[in-house]
Amino acid sequence: MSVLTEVLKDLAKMFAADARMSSAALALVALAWGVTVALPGDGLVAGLVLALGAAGVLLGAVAAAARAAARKD
Amino acid sequence: MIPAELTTPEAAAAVGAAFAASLVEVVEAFTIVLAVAMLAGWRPALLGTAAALATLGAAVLALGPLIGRVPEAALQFAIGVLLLLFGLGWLRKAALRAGGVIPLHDETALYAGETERLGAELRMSPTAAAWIAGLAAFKAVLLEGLEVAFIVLAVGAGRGLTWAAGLGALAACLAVLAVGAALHRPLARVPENALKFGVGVMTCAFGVFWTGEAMGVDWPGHDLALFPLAALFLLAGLVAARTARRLAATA
Repeated sequence: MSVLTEVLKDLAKMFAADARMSSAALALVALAWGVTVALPGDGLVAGLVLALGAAGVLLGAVAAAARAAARKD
Repeated sequence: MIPAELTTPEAAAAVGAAFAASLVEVVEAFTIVLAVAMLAGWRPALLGTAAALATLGAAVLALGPLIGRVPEAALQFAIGVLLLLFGLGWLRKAALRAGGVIPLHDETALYAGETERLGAELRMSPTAAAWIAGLAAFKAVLLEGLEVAFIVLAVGAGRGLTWAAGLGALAACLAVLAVGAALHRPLARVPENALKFGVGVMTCAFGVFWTGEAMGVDWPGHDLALFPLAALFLLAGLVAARTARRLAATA
């Protein structure tokens, strides 16, 4: 049983090693979805929101982790 | 002769991403199996590995038909989101390692740590040594194998590229086995962080592309849009690594 639990935990970590970053990415997907609903004829705007937003989420997550590590030192 | 369906930009990207990601996972599994073999012999190491591969095969056979029943758009959306989460996670870790915030992955240190941990367990229970050693190999191969299976499915499913991605993963397994069999020591020279960085870039690009497509985004240039998306995440990753280095230096 412990083997299965460990495997499941590690699998979950594949997608949510940083819970805040994963939540932000999911919120971004929801936002992009909202854009496709609000602007049904212009799907590219949603694509840009998704792509640029994901890059922003990455930068924010790395900066937050680096700041947290710097505070620890 | 290369089949025509493997020469499209998307298929080439799928093969490359699956190869690089699987290489990272297979090297980790190989390190632990090697540690088990050196401590307890090849028999429990190979039995544990075989049992894990059989479990993986059974799981893929059981789940494969279920995946086929999911509507294509829903599958593409789910896999796109999972790829984006997975890719962002790898890119974040690779940027933090490149920026010196967290230490680089060290296969030699992992081998030493695993040997010490397993050695202590074997000394405590000498009668169950083979069982403990086999279980360690089983766990490592099952976990890393599940990750490889996910990567293959994520990169390939929903676009008819599962074979291309599977080919990339198989090539990675064969490469690690060939080099590992020749060296008989951990593959410490594999540029793990650079691979992780590259795979993070590709999986983020695939994730955004497929999630967007499932939402109805008509990407300019269709599959070729993967390249500017990859360039965007490469740039973001490099800027993130630089930012991490700067913030770490000011501590």
